[in-house]
Amino acid sequence: MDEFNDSSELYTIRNQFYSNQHNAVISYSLDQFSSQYQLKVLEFQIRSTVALGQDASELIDHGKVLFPEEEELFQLLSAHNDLQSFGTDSSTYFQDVKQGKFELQTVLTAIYLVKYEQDVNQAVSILNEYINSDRYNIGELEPFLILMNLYLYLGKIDQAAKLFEHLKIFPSFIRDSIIYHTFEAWYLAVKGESDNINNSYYFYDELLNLDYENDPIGKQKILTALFALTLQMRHLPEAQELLNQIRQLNVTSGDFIANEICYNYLTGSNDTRELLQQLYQIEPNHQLLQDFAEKTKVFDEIVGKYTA
Amino acid sequence: MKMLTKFESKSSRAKGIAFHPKRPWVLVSLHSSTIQLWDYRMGTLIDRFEDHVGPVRSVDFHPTQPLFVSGGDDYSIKVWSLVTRKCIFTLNGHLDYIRQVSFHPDLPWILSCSDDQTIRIWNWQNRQEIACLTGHNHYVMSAQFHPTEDLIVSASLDQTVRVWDISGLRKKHSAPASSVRSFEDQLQRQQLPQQDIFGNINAVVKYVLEGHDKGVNYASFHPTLPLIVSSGDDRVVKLWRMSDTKAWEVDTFRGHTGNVLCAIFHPHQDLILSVSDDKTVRVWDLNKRVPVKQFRRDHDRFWLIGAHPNMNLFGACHDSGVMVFKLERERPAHTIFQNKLYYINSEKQLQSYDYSRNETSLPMLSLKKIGKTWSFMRTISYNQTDNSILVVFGEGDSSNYALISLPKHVTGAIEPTDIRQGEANFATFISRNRFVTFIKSTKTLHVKDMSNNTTKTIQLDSSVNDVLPGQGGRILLVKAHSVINYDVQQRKEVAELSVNNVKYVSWSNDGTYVAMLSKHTITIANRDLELVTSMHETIRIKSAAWDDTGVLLYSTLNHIKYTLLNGDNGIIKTLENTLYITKVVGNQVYCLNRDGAVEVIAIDPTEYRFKKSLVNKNFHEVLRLIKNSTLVGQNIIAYLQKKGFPEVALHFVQDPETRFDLALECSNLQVAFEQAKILNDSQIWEKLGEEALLQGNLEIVEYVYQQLHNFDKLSFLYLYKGDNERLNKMTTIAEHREDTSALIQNTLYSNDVKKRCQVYIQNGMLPLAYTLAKSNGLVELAAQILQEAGLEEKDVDLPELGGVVQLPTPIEEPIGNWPLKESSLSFFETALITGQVENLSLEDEPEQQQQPQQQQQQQQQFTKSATPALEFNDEEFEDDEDDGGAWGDLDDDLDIGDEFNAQAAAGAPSPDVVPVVEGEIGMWLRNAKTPASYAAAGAFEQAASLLNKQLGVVNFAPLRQRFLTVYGANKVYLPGADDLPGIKTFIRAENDEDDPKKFKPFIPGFEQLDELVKIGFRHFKLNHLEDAISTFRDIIYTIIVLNVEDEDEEEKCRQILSLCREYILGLSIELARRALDPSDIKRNLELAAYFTRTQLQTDHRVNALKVALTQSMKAKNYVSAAHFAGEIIKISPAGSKNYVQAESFKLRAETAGSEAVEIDFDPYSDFEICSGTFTPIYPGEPSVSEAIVGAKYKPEFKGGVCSITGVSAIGVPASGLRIRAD
Repeated sequence: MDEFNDSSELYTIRNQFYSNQHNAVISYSLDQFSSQYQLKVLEFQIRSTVALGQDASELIDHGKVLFPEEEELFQLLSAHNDLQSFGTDSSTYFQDVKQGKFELQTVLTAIYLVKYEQDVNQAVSILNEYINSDRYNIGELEPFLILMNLYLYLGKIDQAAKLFEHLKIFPSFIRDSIIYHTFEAWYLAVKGESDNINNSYYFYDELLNLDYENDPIGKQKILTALFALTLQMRHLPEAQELLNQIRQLNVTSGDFIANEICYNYLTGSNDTRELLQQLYQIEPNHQLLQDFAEKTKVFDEIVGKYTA
Repeated sequence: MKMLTKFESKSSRAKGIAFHPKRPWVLVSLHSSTIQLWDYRMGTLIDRFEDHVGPVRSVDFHPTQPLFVSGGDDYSIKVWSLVTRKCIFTLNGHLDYIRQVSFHPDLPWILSCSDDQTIRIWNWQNRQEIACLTGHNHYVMSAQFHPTEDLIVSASLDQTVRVWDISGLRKKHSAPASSVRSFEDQLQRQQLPQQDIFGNINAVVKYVLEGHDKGVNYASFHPTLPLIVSSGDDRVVKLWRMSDTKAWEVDTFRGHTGNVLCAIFHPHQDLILSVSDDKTVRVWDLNKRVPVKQFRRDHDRFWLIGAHPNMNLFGACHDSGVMVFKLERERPAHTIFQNKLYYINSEKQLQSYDYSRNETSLPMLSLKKIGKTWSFMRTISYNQTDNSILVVFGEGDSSNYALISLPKHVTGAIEPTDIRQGEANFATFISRNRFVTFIKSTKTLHVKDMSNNTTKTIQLDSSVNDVLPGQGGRILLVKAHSVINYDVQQRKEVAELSVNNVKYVSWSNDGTYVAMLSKHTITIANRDLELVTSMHETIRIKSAAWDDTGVLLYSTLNHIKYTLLNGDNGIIKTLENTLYITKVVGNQVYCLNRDGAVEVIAIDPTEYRFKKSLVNKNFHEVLRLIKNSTLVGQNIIAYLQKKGFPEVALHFVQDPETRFDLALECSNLQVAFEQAKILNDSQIWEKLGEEALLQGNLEIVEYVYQQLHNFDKLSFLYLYKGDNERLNKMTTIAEHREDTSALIQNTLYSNDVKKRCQVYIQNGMLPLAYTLAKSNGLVELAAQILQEAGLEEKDVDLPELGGVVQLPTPIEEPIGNWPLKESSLSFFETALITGQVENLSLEDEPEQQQQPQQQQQQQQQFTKSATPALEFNDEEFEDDEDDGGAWGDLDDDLDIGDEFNAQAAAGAPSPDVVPVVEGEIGMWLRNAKTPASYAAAGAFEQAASLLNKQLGVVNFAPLRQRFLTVYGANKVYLPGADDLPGIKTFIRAENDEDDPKKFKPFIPGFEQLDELVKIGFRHFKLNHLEDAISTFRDIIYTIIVLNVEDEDEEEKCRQILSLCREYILGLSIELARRALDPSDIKRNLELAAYFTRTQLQTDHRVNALKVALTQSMKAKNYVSAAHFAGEIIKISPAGSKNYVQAESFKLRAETAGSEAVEIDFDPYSDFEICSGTFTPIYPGEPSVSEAIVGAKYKPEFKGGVCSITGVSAIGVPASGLRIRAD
């Protein structure tokens, strides 16, 4: 059975994984799935565990026993887990990967490069190399998701558009995939214009209907996206409503604080010192802080230049 | 199913009705003996026919000839001509009331039936009765020919329906005509009516259908099937089937509660319609034999129902007239997605049509099982993401929607597998995965996801009647008298336009315009629902679509027409059948017909393209069209004339008279002259003469007078031309013509006294001749005259004569035509004469003119009054736009080099400093023109450089917060994938803008200006003067790094800047005063006085005046005190506390009347205050200014930083504030 088909057993868990319902992903028992899907389910569960900041070694060991022939995969997941627990030093797994052998390896390596090496360009080239190689299997969308994320992060909207062109040669069922919808929503938002932003908004709005009771972090992500899009549309009263909702969750994130700073600017409360400090504590490398630091430096030079 | 009434007449009881097969006419026969002919489309009575005596029970149009037949209670059948509108002849023979008359579909026969129990057939060509069918033994209530076979069906009160075979009659009458029959023959035939002389049977009863329990009122054949429907006083409708050999009852339809007067088959649907005196029209399903629908009138019994032979139209006669109606709408539901049309065909199947390939798909889906059998699919909306459709069907409270997934591959009309339904009167997709539904009964709007779950419910205002599709996640709410553009996501009414009863909308291809269609009006608005134009149509409007160039094509019941955005419209094509336009591409109009099929119609778009080009002044296109197309017609000529292009019209016209008129209109004398020669008509010559005279073309004037033999005028013309030679000729001519009066006139002109004397003599007017001769010194001639008269000189007593009057002689050659300035030919004239279209230039001079204008504007901004005109209340901030903000007179002080000026005006730093950036920021940078746009894009250097050049900003430190705000207020972050950085997305100034060349960042601040000003005032009131100053400075910083959209906003900013200057200056003076050493009384008094001179709000100024008054009183400066008190009195409301106190102070001060300390303040002279020294700058004294708020300084401050703004340098070159983003 085609794994992208809606009727696939993996449909729900995949959606949950990519919509950040990691607790929901973990809560499944492997027995609930047919044996042919169990490996993939385990993979999702391990990644979800890592994403929640927990140690997944037990699951990995369990997997090694269940699927002795999949050593390579578990080695990768193990390295991924170790990064989370011990940081970069303990493993050289990802440093040694120069070329992604299979989808997950490519994806996790790219994430490693961005997160630990801050080498976005290398990550982009590894992903590009993989999707254009004969190792790539049609239907593997996660590399596209990561690549889209990185292109948009770099502000390369033209490249992002090309990525869409690339996907056109794929069978149309991939458009039913949540991964496709996710990066489409990003792309549309960055592209701007009312229709696009609205469509992006509705994607997230729909995700909100999912059961996030056990995944407040996931929910916060969705609400943060909605908050950003509402600001993009400059619907300030709605933004205030979302802001209240997010605050009630008691979960915060760098992107949320960055958006709140923007909200303050838009509403005329220009004092953002406290928020900037908060942001610095949570995510010292956030783009906004980097931007502001750079702009402050430029501004200092301007002050010096004209008074001199 | 819905009954849509198209027309109603009000009259006495209507008994018979018939539709014209081609024209929109209906004949109605009345119980009162009148027959009416109505145009049911226009609702007008065309004619009345009155020749019958007593009720007329039946009428029928001939299927092809301009004839109709009527029969009534006067036993007579009348045949009428539609051409002469008169009765041609009458057929007599029936012996009682005639119940029904009708024409045979192809033979020249009329069928009639009567209370005399007979059915008769007449030949209307030879006006003879050819058969009389007997057998019924009661009144025969109806009789009808079979549409294709030789059969008649009749119904009688004898409770039977009979079917008659008349094939014998046909045989006989198609045989070669026999010799004229003898009287006896005819008599015999009449006695044996069903047999001719050879014993042939004309007509035999084929079947007798028994089953009705009471009299049968009506029976009729099915148009194609062997079926008969009958109705009777037993309150039932019966269906009968017949074969070649027998006929039998199939079923009975029960439901009517009164006598059923008539029942007929629907011409092309499996339905039966019946009417009854229970005041209902009922519709029955022929196959399922169940009632489908009933319509009730309150007071009128129905008598008859008739169907239009080809169209979906029925007419029903009742007690107070007729109603013409159709069953169900005929507009096939359709929607367009990209290049595809999705529509529902007549079989209730979904089909698509590819516009680019001109190809219809196979049916994709059968929608028959959705809703009830007869519920009509009203609208459809398509979603590409999900490949699904949303249909709305049914009416009123039983209106529903269904969300249906389309099959991935089109293989034919399959049954849908996945249907999600619900109640709604309207439904449309508003995004990839959302749709809205509207329920009219509760006025609620539901936003639903693709699983049909409601994600949002919105309660609308109770006056909302309908919802129509909008653009970009919006919908249009339709009220009885307005339409509202509604943002569903934001739950906000974006715009509203007054327009009545809108039924359909058509958005232009780019979404810029919307055409709103009501029954008879089209209203065009832009996307913000601002009215563009509105027009009325007398014929019902059916559909509309925009072509690629922004022309709206629309269809009425019988035309395809167009309208331009300025309301100019015209007919493109006449239609045989109503069509619904779906799309216009070039000269192809893609329509849907009422059978649910696509029809492509080729049109000639030249006319509207021509008009559009003309309106848009695209003259090259106009010329191209003139040259390459056959554009003719009075319509175009009249249009050109109306639009002020007679010279273009001239090109089209061949008719000399029109050419002449047009030529006069464009003052083209030569063309007019040519045409006048052709026409050679006195009125034409006169008109030409007048125009030629006005233009001073004396040659033509002369020619015209000659043509008209207008000798008097000609003579006068020669006189004032000074053409003596011709004037003399005129004398000769007058002589030849023996026109004495003209002759005398001419001699007067030429001062030919002798000649005049001769004329007098010839005419026997000797005294006059003598006097003339004598007074002109013609002694000899005078003597001759005397002699002739037989008189002597002494006999004549003349008064004293003066000298001889000399006629002045022309000093020059006779004058020719008035010299006229060489006129240049118009664009079209040149083009039409030379035939060269391409190299002509239309750009006269507007570009060159623009520059001085800009310069003037720039100058204006500096020369405006230095007084801010804004009046702020503490609570209410009223924007007074009458007066400009202030800049002070900077003209003399600013030395701005041209080169610099140009650069600053262009608003952009030299290109080499703009970094190349891609993405959104790149677009912002490319489109940036203001410091704010640069700052938002992160290009702080460019922003700073512009601020420096435009406003002389040198101290940037205070602007840090503003720069960061502007930079930070338009970027938000979407969370990315786990462990990856978020995605930066951008807030644009205008999300509806789709042209990347106009993408600009959103800059906050303008909305907050009012609030900030209020805060400043509050600080003032609370005596927090430092805080107030700081607030006003913040406002200045906000404005200089801001984008505004239009002139009004810009003007408001300028006024607020002036206001800030005055407050900062005033408050700084007051702070300086408070900081003084108490012993410095003189300076204290001066500063207090200057403070009163700043332009504050009235109540704030009172504060300043009170300070000055108090200080003056303290220092015993009573004269000044009296002045300040007087000022308070001037601006305080009479009787207020301030007013009363001031009055008392004034009195005291005036009584004292002395000035203890002399200060540098003259209350009566005009001066400005140096913001550096707080001392007066009197008019004429040198000063320098600052460029942001226009603060004044003494020259020694030049180059320093302005103490008002804290950021700008004083007296440096600056091009001025530039905050308009466009």
